Amino acid sequence: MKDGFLMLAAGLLNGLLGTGGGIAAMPVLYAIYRAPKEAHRWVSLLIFPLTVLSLISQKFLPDRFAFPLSVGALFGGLTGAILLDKVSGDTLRLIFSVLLFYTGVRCFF
Amino acid sequence: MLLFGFLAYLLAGLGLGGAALLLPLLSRFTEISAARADAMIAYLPAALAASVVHGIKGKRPNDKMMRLLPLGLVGAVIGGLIAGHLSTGILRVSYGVFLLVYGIKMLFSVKRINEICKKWKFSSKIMKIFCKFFNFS
Repeated sequence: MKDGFLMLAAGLLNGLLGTGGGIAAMPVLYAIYRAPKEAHRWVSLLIFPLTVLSLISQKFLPDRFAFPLSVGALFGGLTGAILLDKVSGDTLRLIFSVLLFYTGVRCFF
Repeated sequence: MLLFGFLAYLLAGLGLGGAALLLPLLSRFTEISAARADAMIAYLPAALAASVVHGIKGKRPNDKMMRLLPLGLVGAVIGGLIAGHLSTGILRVSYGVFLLVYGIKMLFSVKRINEICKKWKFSSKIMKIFCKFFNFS
C-alpha cells in the first residue's frame, strides 16, 4: 500500500518536475532489494519509462543542448554502471545522502 | 555540455539521481522548460546504457519492482498533464522536506556514522534517541 503510494508519487514528481522520481522511488526499492547497491542498480530502469511518459504528456520541447547532453549522458551512464560494482554500499549511501541534502536545500532557494 | 552530461549522468549510472544536479546548471543557459526537457531526454540513453551494462553482467531486476511500475506510469501521466496548471511552490517545499529527512536517514544508515552514534550512546541519551529515530532499521 505504502509502496504503491510512493511509486505513484514518484511518477507524479517525474511528471511535474521532470526529476526526482528516482529519489522518491528509492525507499520502495530499498525495501524490495534489501541491498542498497541493487536498489540503485535498477532505479534507472524503473524511471526510464516514467521519464518517457512524462516527456510525452508534458510536451516540453528540447533545445540544442539536448544532443550533446545525451551523448555525454550515454557515456556517463555506462561508466556509472560499470563503477557500481566497484563501490561499496556504504559509499553509495554516503554520496546519496549528500545529494539528497543538496537537492533538498535547493528546493527552498 | 558533453562534460556536464557525462558527469551528471555518471551519477545516474550509479543510481543516484539524474537531472537534479544538472537542472540548476542548465537553467543558466536556457529557459527552464527546455532545460527540463533536455535533462529528461538525456536521462534516457544514460538509463538505457546503465541497464544494458547490468544486464550484460548477468543481473536481473526483481519482479516486484516491475509489478509496481504501472502505478508509477499512471503518476507520470497525471503529473505531466497537470504540470502546467499547478503551482510548483508547495510541491517543491514538501519535496524538499522529504529530501532532507530522507537524507538524514540515509546518512545515519552509513556504517561509519552508525559507529559514531554507538560511541555517543554512552555520553548522551539525547544523541542515542536521535540516532535511533533516524536509523533505517
